[in-house]
Amino acid sequence: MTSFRFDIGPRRRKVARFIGQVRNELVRALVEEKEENKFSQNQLAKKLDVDRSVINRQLNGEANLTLRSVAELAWALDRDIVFELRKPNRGGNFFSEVATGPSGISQLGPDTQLHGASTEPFSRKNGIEIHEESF
Amino acid sequence: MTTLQSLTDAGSIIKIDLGSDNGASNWRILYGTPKFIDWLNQRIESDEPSPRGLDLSLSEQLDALFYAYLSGQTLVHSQQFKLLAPNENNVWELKTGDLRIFGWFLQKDCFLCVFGELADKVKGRGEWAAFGSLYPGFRNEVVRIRAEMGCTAVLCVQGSNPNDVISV
Repeated sequence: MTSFRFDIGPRRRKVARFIGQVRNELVRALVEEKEENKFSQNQLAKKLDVDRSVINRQLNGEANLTLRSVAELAWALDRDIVFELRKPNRGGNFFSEVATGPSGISQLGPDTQLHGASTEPFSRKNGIEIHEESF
Repeated sequence: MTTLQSLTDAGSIIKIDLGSDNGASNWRILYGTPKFIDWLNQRIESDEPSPRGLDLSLSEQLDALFYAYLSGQTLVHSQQFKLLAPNENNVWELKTGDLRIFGWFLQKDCFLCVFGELADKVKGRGEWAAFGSLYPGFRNEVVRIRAEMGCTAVLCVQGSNPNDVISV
């Protein structure tokens, strides 16, 4: 065997990548805020009146994200949310238009760095759209 | 000299692809040892829920992590990947909410998974408290296996900066 396909099936894959992408989008927004406005994870926690560890667990996958927590994080990060369900484009390879790949590095904290941040809206990667528009 | 091709030909490493990614996952490369592939297969077949009650099952957490890694998405150092101390061992971990994967970077953007385990077990938490931290054991085993495979001098990215192992 020279290669192994890790395939959990379409249903679980949709769940995994959606939740993963939501979390990544929140992290990306936090990194942007840190770079542009020196807005730290501590400040984010204070703004939401929670302990920093709560934010940390939510962003690193050790705690669940509820719709409410996503919305509150978006508010605290000054981001609008768009959620849309689209019929997939069955006719072609929707990844063919994706320009994903490593670009950019930024700091989340003294021991935290962001790598390979994609600037593409992740709608194009996963058939799910959450990007910055008015809601 | 040990090369990726010689390791693949010998069956020492197996390339890991994702189901239905339509070719998106080609920005970075992931390999596993045969034992790690067995462990992955067990995760798929057993479909265990998160022991912490997280939304994603263990196999779903792995899919999300592998997809983010392979497709070149954002990876946050210390949250999703981290160099184990001491740095000079060049042993890294990939992280999900419940799992830890230990291995090393054969080349930049090319990670070899050697062991996977529950984070709580690795940390010696909960029902595994009596065993203490397993981090040193996993780290030393990765170093030993790397030496056995002839990858100490070649096919092992040196450096403690995350930029050394993941493309910017």
